[in-house]
Amino acid sequence: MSTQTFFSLNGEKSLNPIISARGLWKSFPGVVALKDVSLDVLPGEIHAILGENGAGKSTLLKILYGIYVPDKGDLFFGGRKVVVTSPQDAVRNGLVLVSQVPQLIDSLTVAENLSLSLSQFGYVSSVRKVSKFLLEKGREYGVRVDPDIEVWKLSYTQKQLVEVLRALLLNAKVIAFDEATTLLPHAEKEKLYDFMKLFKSKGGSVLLVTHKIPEAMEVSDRITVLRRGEVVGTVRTSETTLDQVRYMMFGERLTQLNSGKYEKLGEKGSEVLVVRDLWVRSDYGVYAVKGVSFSVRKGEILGIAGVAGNGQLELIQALAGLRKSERGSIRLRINGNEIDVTNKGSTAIRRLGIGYIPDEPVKKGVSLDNSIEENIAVHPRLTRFLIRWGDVKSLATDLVREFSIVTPSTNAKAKVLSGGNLMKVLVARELTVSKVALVAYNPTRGLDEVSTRYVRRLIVSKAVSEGMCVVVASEDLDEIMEISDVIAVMNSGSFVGVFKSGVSREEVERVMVS
Amino acid sequence: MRLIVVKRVKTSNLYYVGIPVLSILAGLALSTLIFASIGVPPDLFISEILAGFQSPQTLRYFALLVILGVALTMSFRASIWNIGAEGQMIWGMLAGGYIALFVAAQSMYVSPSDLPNYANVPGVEIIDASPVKPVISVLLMDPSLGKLLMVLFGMLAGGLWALIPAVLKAYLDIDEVASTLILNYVAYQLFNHLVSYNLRGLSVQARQFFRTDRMNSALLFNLIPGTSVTVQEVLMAVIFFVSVVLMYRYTAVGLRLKIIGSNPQLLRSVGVDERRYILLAMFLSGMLAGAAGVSILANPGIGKLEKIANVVSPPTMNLGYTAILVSWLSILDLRFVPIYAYIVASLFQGSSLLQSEINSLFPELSLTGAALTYIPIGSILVVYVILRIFTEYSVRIMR
Amino acid sequence: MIGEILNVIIAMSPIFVFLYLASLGNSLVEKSGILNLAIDGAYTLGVALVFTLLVFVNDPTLALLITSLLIGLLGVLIAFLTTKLPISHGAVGLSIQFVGYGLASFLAYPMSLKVRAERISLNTYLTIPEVVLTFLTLSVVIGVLTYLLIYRTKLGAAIRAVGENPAGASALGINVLKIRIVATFLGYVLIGSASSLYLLLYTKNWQEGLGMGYGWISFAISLSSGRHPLVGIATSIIFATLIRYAYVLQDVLVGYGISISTFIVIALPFIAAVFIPLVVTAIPQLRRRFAPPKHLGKIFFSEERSV
Repeated sequence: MSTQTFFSLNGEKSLNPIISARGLWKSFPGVVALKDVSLDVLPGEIHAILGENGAGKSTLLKILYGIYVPDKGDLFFGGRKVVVTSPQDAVRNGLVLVSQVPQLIDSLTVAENLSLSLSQFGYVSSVRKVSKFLLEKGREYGVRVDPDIEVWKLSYTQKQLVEVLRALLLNAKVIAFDEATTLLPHAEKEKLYDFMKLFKSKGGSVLLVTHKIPEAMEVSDRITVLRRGEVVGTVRTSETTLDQVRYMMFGERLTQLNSGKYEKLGEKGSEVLVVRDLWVRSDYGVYAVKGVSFSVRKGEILGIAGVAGNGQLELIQALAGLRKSERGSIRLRINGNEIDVTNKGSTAIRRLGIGYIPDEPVKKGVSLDNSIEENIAVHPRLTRFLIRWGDVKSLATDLVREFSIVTPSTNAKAKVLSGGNLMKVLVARELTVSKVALVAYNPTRGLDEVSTRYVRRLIVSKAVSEGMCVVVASEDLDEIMEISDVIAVMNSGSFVGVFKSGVSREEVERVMVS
Repeated sequence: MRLIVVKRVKTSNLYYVGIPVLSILAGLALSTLIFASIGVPPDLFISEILAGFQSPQTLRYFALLVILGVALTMSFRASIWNIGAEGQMIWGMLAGGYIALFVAAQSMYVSPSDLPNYANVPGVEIIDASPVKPVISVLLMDPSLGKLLMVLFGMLAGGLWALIPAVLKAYLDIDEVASTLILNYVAYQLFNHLVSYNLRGLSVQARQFFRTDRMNSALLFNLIPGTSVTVQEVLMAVIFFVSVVLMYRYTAVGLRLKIIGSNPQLLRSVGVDERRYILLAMFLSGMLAGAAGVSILANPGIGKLEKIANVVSPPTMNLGYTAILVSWLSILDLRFVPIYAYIVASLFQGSSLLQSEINSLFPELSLTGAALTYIPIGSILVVYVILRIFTEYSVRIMR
Repeated sequence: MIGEILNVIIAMSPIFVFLYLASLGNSLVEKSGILNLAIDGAYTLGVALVFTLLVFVNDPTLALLITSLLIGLLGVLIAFLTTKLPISHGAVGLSIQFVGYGLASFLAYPMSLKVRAERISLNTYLTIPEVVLTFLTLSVVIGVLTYLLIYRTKLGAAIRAVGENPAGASALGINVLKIRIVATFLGYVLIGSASSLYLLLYTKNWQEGLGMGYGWISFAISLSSGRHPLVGIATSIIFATLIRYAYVLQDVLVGYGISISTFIVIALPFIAAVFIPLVVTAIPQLRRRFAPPKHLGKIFFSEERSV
């Protein structure tokens, strides 16, 4: 079936699009991010842009918002051709962005932040005047935020409210939400959806950028699907089905996604990793992990679920020896010997055969300016003082073949690789050294669906075949549900619920946000 | 119409060669203009700079700049901006000088009547034949061992001095550019203090003079005939260059020093404490700078330490700053260091030829050494820093 | 007693004034996120410029104003290069520092020969209580105004915003370049006036290398006061005392049989400049409060932008 089938042109020729993009092209080192992309946003609609990670959604949005400049193609706002080279240009044209990571300055107050957007206040005007104005307007729009509080003290939802308030104060005609709902708990999501519908009813348009199909189906009027930088089609939400959209998003690879069963062992071995009453501080000096105890058996996968920022990251870092444990102990039982590795330093822990996939893996776990071989040779378990490049090369060649890493050669700089392949290099290296255990945080973040499946399957199969024990924390609950034998939910630094695999998603979610 | 800077899809190799060369030409053109504005004829400027390329004196700066270029490249590649080579060289000189004057040899007074007896004694040298208080220097060990000790202690001192800003950076996150630079001023003053008191020579009679004795000439390095470069400094340049290249190519330490510059978080995530490698990069860098300091001291043309009259003209000849140019123009690639060391050495020599030429032809222009070295160096650096972006970015015009 | 205190204040004021104003300038520049490594070159050049101008115009205030303006323009150049192009702040700063050193010597050395040969008497400021106290008052007033600017106005919020998170500030609608140009211009005007006053109120004459290193001392003062205009007053007093009274300390110590050389005395403010910032980072509360702007010295070019 050709993708053209879905190309149902919209019928509302009479409605002039408020934003129109024509024939956009954009390349980055090693990848063409957008290929001849066109898009129309009509007045008074909620328009979803759907696609997996790396499909080009955010590149498109960044072009509309003046952060990237297209290699080719034109933009029209209100029918007028414009060159947008900064967010200010976009705002002037009536487009305001609410992003996944709120674009606010943490150390400034809400009033100070919003004053920067409001051109009616001159540069010498005092911040106090802005505070007063915000209180009035907030009351008018029904958005209540203390204008004099510093932004870092706000919750994630509150920050998003500030961004929405800002969009309203700027008289936005189109508000773009860039994965803005992805990290919100369900109840908060609903509030945002209600707001979108309200905004639409007043004649505004919403551009909803997301990789979640149900979300697009729930709130949007029309959906434009992107795949590998190309528009697959634009469909009217009321006239399409979930399966049709899924096919548009994944194409022929849909079958690969569906065959997603993991082989699991029924019987687990003895305890390998034993953690008792662990207390760890965050960067701000407060306790982020408050007396956590657990043990993981040989071949067992412990998944740690939770809303981001509840101590998962600090716990994982403590296990990897990268953060000091203030109290409690971390012990390993290897071949009958019990080794206390609490605060033993990361080199020592890594040499024992512990693999580690860090948060923001592509940023922290590989070096883009070095070759694949160098990225492998850097591991202290893999090289001694002198590097035998011959050995490294053959290991690298094996890993490239085994993990089907797409690269010109093992000597190529890592930056020519795509995000998915970079991640495979990292996972391949860490699985090679994980003789005893693997510790991971968000191991598939930023990967496309297929690579995600692949990485998860590798982790599971290594646990099963070699008896490696795994502790994985992830902000993606689906991931935890999929691969874990035991699911622990972390909330405010403690384990608030421990479940066997097979527990219902609702049950876990309930504990997560309570 | 707007100009837009965009990241290149592919980085351009052509630019790696073209941009340093273009920077040198443009920087020199800019300097020619600046000097022409007060009446230095452009043709004189250019011809003297070109003369630098053939001057035998250039070889000396070449050897020193290779050592310093390798030293700085090692720290720069680790993303540590060691601007403190000046201070590290100063400590190399002090430690080397201490060995030469107090350990490998020793100065002592003799009575004027005894003086002729010492004229032909092996290992003894008359360094001040003053009729009142003559001074001799007595060799206390084999001079080759003495020279080796001078170099080793000079390197150690330079390395230790470099560890101060390294510790501040690694453990307290204090910017090393500022601290290495400020420590240069501290080093200059401590040098003055030590030279004026602790290391002050017996042969220095007048109260207002502050310097050490002349070194025993057996401890001086050996000049290559017809030049002002010594065998030892050429040897050091070769040894350092080769061993550092090999270290980067074949050792885990070298690989980590390289990776700390591109992504220190990777080291941390694979369990290597990146702070230790910050210390190591600076220590090695300081060691080589210290060796360069010893080479300057042990050159037969110098052979002693003298109080710095003005911080713009220290005994290091500002080569510690000049070497930044070598390292940057080489795009932090060691293979290019000798090439740019030669070019920069020629410019350096050219500007001092220019200075003596101007002083004799146009004394009324009164140009200082500082103006003649800093302006061309600074201009080339500024142009280079700006042009450098074109290796990874291109500029486009949007209608 | 009051007379003695007044004498001490008058003796220290010139030093305080040139240290404080330059550190204040540095704080403004760095609050906007630009790592100010050109400061010493700008300072040395400023000293040479004001000397050269003084010979021509023979009016200290006019020479000071022109110098401040010119150094301010140098700041604008730095803001432009570091904001509009993906260039390392360190590289730009250092390169400009060397040009500054070179130009300083280039401009002022011939002039110093001329002054000596023609026995020109330089019309610098008189170090009398009225003049000194005027400058002292002025500099404190400028400090308070700078504080109000940074922490109480929208412009101040914008300066802090571009220093903390320029991409975010840009997304909020701030023209990062414009704000940085304003902050850097004002900052460099202060650095220019500080270097002018160093000559006009303190050394009264020029010699080769004059001013070199004082930019770094001011840099260190700004750093160890957490780039806070009011805290900077206290830190500047400490350094001024060190510079003014180290010789006294030297004399006192001789009385106890300890002799430190003049060279150590000269080195003291530099040693302090390296180590006083340590005190700040060693105390956790201060460390957090005095933390540098998050984006200080980082290249503002994660994305593309137009020139």
